[in-house]
Amino acid sequence: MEAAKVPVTLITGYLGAGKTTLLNRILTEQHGKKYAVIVNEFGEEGIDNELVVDADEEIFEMNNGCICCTVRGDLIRIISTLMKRADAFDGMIIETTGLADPAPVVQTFFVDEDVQAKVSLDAVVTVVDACHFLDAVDEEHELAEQVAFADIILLNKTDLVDADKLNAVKAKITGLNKMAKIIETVNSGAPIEEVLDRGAFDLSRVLEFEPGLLDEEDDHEHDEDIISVSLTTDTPIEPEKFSNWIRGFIMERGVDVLRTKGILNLSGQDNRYVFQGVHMVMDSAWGAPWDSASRSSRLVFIGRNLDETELNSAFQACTVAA
Amino acid sequence: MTADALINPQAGGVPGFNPDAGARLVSPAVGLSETPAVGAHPTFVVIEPGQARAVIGFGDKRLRGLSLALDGAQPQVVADVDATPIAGVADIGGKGVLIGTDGGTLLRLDGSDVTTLASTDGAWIGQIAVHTDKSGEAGLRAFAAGKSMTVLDGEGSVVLTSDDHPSTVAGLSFSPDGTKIAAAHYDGVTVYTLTDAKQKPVRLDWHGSHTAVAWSPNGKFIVTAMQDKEMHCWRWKDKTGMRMSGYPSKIRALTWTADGGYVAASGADTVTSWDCSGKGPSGKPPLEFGYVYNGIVMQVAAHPTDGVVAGGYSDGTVMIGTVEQETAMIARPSSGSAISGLAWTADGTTLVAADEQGAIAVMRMKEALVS
Repeated sequence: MEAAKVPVTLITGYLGAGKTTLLNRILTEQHGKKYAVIVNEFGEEGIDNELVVDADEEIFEMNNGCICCTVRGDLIRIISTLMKRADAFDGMIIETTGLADPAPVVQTFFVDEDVQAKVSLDAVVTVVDACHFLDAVDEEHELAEQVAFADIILLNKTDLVDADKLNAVKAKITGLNKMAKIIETVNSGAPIEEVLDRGAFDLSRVLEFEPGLLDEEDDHEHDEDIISVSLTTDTPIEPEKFSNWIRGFIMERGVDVLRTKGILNLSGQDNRYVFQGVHMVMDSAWGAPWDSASRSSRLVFIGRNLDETELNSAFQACTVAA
Repeated sequence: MTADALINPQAGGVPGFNPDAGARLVSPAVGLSETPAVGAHPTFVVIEPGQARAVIGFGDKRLRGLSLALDGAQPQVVADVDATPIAGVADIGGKGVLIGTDGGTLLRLDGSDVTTLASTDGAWIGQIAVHTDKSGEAGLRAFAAGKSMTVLDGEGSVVLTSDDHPSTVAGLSFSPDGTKIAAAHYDGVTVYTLTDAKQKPVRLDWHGSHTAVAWSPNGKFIVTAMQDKEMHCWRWKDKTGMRMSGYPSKIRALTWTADGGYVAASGADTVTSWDCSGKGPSGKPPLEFGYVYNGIVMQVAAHPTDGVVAGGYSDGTVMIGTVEQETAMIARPSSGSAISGLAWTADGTTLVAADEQGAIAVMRMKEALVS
């Protein structure tokens, strides 16, 4: 039997947002569990763990014809080596630098065989400073990317802002990413069980995701902004049409598409078809059978330069009715 | 190798060979003995000729030795070290073992004594290399930690040190005459001349992450393995680059046949060997042997004298094959656990493999491999 893979949690967030505070909370609250922590810079705040590996951020492009496919060479080396150690880890936690692009980290878990064989990416957790987010997000594009890539967003330091500002921050976050679960915190004080063991990249759990706020209009100002687009239809999807469209779209636009998730009601199939992607890296599987009542396909793209109207008409053209 | 010792599943296999059931016949030309799994992950296998033993580094911070006398001996803990031994090679003259650890120490094992030859500020020493000169007594040691690479002489004095690499050094290889060393990294290889400090290093460029490097025994070629499921070869004379691609998996190991005629690699469901005679492998498809159903070659080790290569597979199978005839025999059946270390004794009569569960297989050749 295949041994259970060690879950890896990726913590991102801008400088001072509260990443290390969250990390230390996990480490101190998860008594008796053993974590390997990989950091890219030692901050002022110490990390309370036996095994902390300091990594140089080494971003490597792959020669696989996919121009956006980058991996983190340092993580491949470190994770492969750590997995040979006799100490069994309950998990690994990677804390990125404030300005890190999460894409190479996430892609490492889909591209490298040694990493894939031994560990699995559990979730991308992005810590957001409620106080400074709105000012900083327009200045630093990494901040928007970190939010766009997130499965869980810790909206931190909520005690330092009033209700209006908090709502504005939440609206901005939701505009960037409709898939992520937002947890409002003070001092990164999220319930640990809502941060760890989320299985956010586990295809069998894609079904649990509920794209938020499907009906809300996006009020983004620039086309270059990262937005999330939710598409839905109750008409069954014609597999061949959809396959042709999504392949072509991702080949052409994969650089702009940060994350994709979908649950499809394929014509003539009793089971859900689930898939997800990071840029051009795609992964798919058959999910649980449909209930007869609600056979509805849902598709979410998070990325830049996305035209919701155009995407919607392309998606609707993949149905059997089209 | 005699005809009835050969098994070539690609050509129809042998009676009783059922890849689906995993049933494997060990060739009658091989005497196999195997020790039970230790339960720790081997990180390297080194043969010590003087001690007639194999030394295996393990992820539980232990060095274990196994006598090659085939007298039913079990692996014994030779030494405990304070960090995980992550790289190991035979030391100068084959006497002792040189070891790099994830505690940033460069260690030397002699018998059961461990001495520290060098240490870093904690950066892992993941790459090491040794060159023995013609006397068989003296030589050079090299180690890399992060972006930095250091070459020491036999007395421990620094011959050269450099951190002018675009990434962590992922492979080291001395030229066969010991006058140069090649360091593999992102976007290529840097070659240093050790005998003339004034000579500028030579950078061999090829885009991508190079994860291993091996200089051919005749000094003509430098070959790297890449994260991109391909290899790259440079002809040293004119620095011409050649690309060797088409692998389904990433290439973890490279080995040169003793005469430098072929470079063999892991990364496919067969052991692939590229003809590097003449101007190099360009335009020549690789020779293959040892197809294993649902298996990928993880480790390769060339025989010390003959045109024979051993391959260790992801399912624990070990195959020994002749490169030019493309024929193979099974030396160890599948254990279900990937081979993580593979080494021949200097006389080529014995092959030692370790799988990820820590089982060690000792394979003794009952007859000459090439007649």
